[in-house]
Amino acid sequence: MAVMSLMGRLSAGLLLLGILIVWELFSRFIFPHYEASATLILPPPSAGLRDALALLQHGALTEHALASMRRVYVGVAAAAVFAIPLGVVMGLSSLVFRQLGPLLGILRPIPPVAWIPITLLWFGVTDAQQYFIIFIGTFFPMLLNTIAGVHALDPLLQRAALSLGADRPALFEQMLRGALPHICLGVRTSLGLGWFIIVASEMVSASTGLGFLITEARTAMITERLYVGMFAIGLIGFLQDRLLSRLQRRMLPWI
Amino acid sequence: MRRFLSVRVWDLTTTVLVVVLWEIVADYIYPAFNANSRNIFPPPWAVVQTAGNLISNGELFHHIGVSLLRVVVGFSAAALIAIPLGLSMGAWPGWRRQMSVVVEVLRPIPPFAWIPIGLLWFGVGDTQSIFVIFIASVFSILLNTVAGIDAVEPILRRSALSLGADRRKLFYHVILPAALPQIVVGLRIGLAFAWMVLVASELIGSTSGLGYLILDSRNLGLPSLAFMGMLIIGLIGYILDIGLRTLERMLMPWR
Repeated sequence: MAVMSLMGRLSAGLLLLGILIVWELFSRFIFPHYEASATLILPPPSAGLRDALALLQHGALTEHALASMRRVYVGVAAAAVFAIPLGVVMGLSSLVFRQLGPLLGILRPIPPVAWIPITLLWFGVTDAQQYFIIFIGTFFPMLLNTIAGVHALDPLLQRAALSLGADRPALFEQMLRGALPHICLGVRTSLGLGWFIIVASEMVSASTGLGFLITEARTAMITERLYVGMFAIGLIGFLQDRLLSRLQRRMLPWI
Repeated sequence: MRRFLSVRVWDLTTTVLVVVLWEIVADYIYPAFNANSRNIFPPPWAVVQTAGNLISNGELFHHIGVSLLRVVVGFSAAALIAIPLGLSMGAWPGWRRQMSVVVEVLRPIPPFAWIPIGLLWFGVGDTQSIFVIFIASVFSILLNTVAGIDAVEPILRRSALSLGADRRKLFYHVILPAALPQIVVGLRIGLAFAWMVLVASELIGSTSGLGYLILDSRNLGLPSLAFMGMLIIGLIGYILDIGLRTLERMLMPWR
């Protein structure tokens, strides 16, 4: 039975395999007949594989990946430190919510990428600039999710806690617990988003990181390295999300 | 967050205070410490003046027009391909299984990561931006279309069939209307992504459009231009979302 289900799973990849084979054959044998710079425009997937192995061997790929990951985690952590407490305050106090609402409403629709030019002016090409872009990009999802979490609390639970004699600290703790699922969702969304944004930010201004790797590959016209960079970015983002959802299930099983 | 919009006059107190404070700091306090302050931290009034200049010489509308055209073309192409593809995946499970693997491999790659390869294939200009916008919006539309079809209640299907509907009628009168809300969600997410990616693609490989405008501000040493551009980008993104929401209400008055 196990073999059967494995076969079933593998058979779902037939189309993908077919595409890869056609692409390989096309790039190797057909395309070069019509286009002199064929290997530059569309190298076969096997060229990407070879380049990936070479990059892994002398450690460049890992180095760039770690640089990008560090930027995302620092930026997201900084955003969390500000966004989650602010979100709790805004969720609890309607005065703060109404006062900060318009200000945040103006800033929120600005895409994080649009902050790149002005932050380059402020920070230059530094890691601080990258942290700032990640901070700005992930601040709002975390803030909005925290507010939503506090607003979604069941008032009945609060009243029940009160009537059972809960004091203020106990009430606060109960509130945090209740808002936790939303807060976790905000952090997860933010990490995914941060991983998206870092690529763009590194393409404009950085000398390390996976975003830099692919822009450099373009300038140097090593197209197969673009495949490697794109695939690595996708794979790390995917694994990161998987890991987080597993971690969340382990640590907060009631969610 | 529709609630950010329903503001009362008093709610604007903090916002007004922040703007006034910004004006005072940028005009009087910061220049005392840094002679170069205007080139780093412009007062809000300078932002308004820059906007006035660019509106009167028509340059702003030129860039807005270019950007909007790119988004409309890329996004429409994505919708025209993703919706029928999603519907076909909903209709034939075997095809869906095969396609899912392909989509799952491509989807985690951030749309920004397609910019270098877009530049390599199409060079600097409109086509590159349109290509990246297409990639950015196609997956969310596709996945939400499939999810929309999945969400159609089997009872609706069966009752339509037992009342004598043929496949055509079933599709147009039952499945499509029931899947529509989810499709529109996909369109809204796709459009938000498209707008964000447009800015990045114009920052990196373009000589026109709003993304280029804010990058140019950096070369010109005009931070007020960058601020203005950011606000306009945010505003247009917001208006685009409102537009789709209005469309949603027109298409589905029953919701």
